[in-house]
This record gives sequence, structure tokens and C-alpha cells, in this order.
Amino acid sequence: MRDAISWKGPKISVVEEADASREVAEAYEYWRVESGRSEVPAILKSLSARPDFLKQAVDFCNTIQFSDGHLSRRHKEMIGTYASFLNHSPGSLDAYFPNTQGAGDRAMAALREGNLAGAHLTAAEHALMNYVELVTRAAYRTTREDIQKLRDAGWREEQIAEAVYIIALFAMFDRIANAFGVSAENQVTRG
Amino acid sequence: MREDKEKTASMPDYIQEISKLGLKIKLIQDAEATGETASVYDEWRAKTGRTQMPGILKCFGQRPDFLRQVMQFSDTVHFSEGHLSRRYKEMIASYVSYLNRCPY
Repeated sequence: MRDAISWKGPKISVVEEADASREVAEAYEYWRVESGRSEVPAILKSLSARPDFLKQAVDFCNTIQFSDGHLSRRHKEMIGTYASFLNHSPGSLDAYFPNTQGAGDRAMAALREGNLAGAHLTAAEHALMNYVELVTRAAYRTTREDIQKLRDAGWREEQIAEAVYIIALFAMFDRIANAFGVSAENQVTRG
Repeated sequence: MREDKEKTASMPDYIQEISKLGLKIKLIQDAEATGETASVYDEWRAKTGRTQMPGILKCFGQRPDFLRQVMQFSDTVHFSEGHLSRRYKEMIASYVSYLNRCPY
């Protein structure tokens, strides 16, 4: 069986910067201005077939992911990192990780490897990561009891809702990354 | 209520099973929405001519700024003709939702 993690190179064509039409070039520039980074990551190039959608993706990621909300930005980064591990998507992580405030810290590095014990999480964070796994693997199987465990751990209703948005956001980007074959350029390749 | 039961009974087994689980996380309902959430709900009802927000959009009620963006990008990439026809997009969405055991 092929392991998605070991695949290298794109499977579906993306528009490179040198080949970008005016609309795609504008979308790439939009991302540069918003992010302050210079090199457009492959995961964003995966949206180049629809530059109008690419710009919207930049906006909604800034709204819901790259900001404090009901959840702190750090907890969102933990959710995204662990979800991408569960989704076998190092390419998505690779694009995402340089942007995280937690980049380089031990907890985040452990979550990238799916190592909950090594992440030294609080009990509440551990409950949250367990829920990330449930929703990522089979959201339809989650129960009211699963939500009660989160409430008992101290998470409020609006925080639980926001956690679901982040898990779903990474389900989307991880699938895009794996479908296109976005490789992990800055992390050790496994598989 | 009886009508609901009859409606559910005619649905595929997996939808019936999932429906039994009921609501797990609290949604902000139409009548209880306030502030920005009420504004976004109003925008959607005005745009569609429908009187009740669908459950899937109410899932985003805790972050109305994000809900507005979800509605916008859904219109851009899904509820429109693009490189794929809207019909093919709907076929993809229907089958993916079946695979995800999602009845919405």
C-alpha cells in the first residue's frame, strides 16, 4: 500500500509564480501582503485554479485560524498540528508551521509526531486533543457524552464550536495538500 | 412530530442512525440570535428568501464573521458554475456527504 507521506512532488498541476496570469499573480501578492512572507507555499498554489477562492481562503484563515478567538491562537495551532498528523498531511503542516507562534516549541513538535504524552498537555488540552481525534477520524460517531467530557474539562460551548471549525478547516487543507501531493519541504519525511 | 418520524423513516439507514444521536453542540437558533449573528442570519434569509437558517449554517453561529465568509466562499466555489458545472459539484458534494455519513 502506498504511503501518502512518502510521496514527493505534485500530482495535480498548480500555477507557478512565473506562469501566473494577472489574476493569479494578484492573489499571490494578496497573500504576501497579508502574511508578510515572500514565498507562496505550495498549499496555496493548490488553489491557483480559482484565484478568487484563494483570496477568500487567505481571509477566512486569518479570521478563524491565525487569531485569538474563543480559543487562543496557541490552542488553535495545537488542534491544527495534531489534526494534520492524524490526516497524514506533512505538506499542510509544512506550509502552516512556519506561521505558528508555537513553532519550535516542544509541545507542538510532539503533536506533529502524534505524541500526546510527549506534549506535556494539561488535562483540558488532553481532552481537547482526544476530541480532535474523534472528529478527524469519524465526526458522525461523536456523541453528547464526548462533548460533556470537554465541558467537564472546562471548555465552554463557544470554544468547542470553534475547535470544530479548526478541525474541519484542517480536514479541508490536509485533503487538498494530499490530493495535490504537496510535499513536506522543511520536515523529516516519514514512511 | 409524526411527520418528522415518517420523513426520517423514508431516509437511508445511516441517516436514521445519525439522526438518533441528536444535537450534540448547542446551536444559536434563529429566535435567540443577537448582534452580529442576528445580522448575518438576516442577510442569509434576505438573500435566499427562506425563513429559517439551515442547521449547517447555524453550526457557525458562534463566529458570525467566519459564517459570513463561509457563505461567501461557498457561493464562489460551490454554488456556481466554474471549471466544473454546478451539477458536477453537487454530485461530488452529495457523494462525499454520503461517504462522510453526513445527512445534511
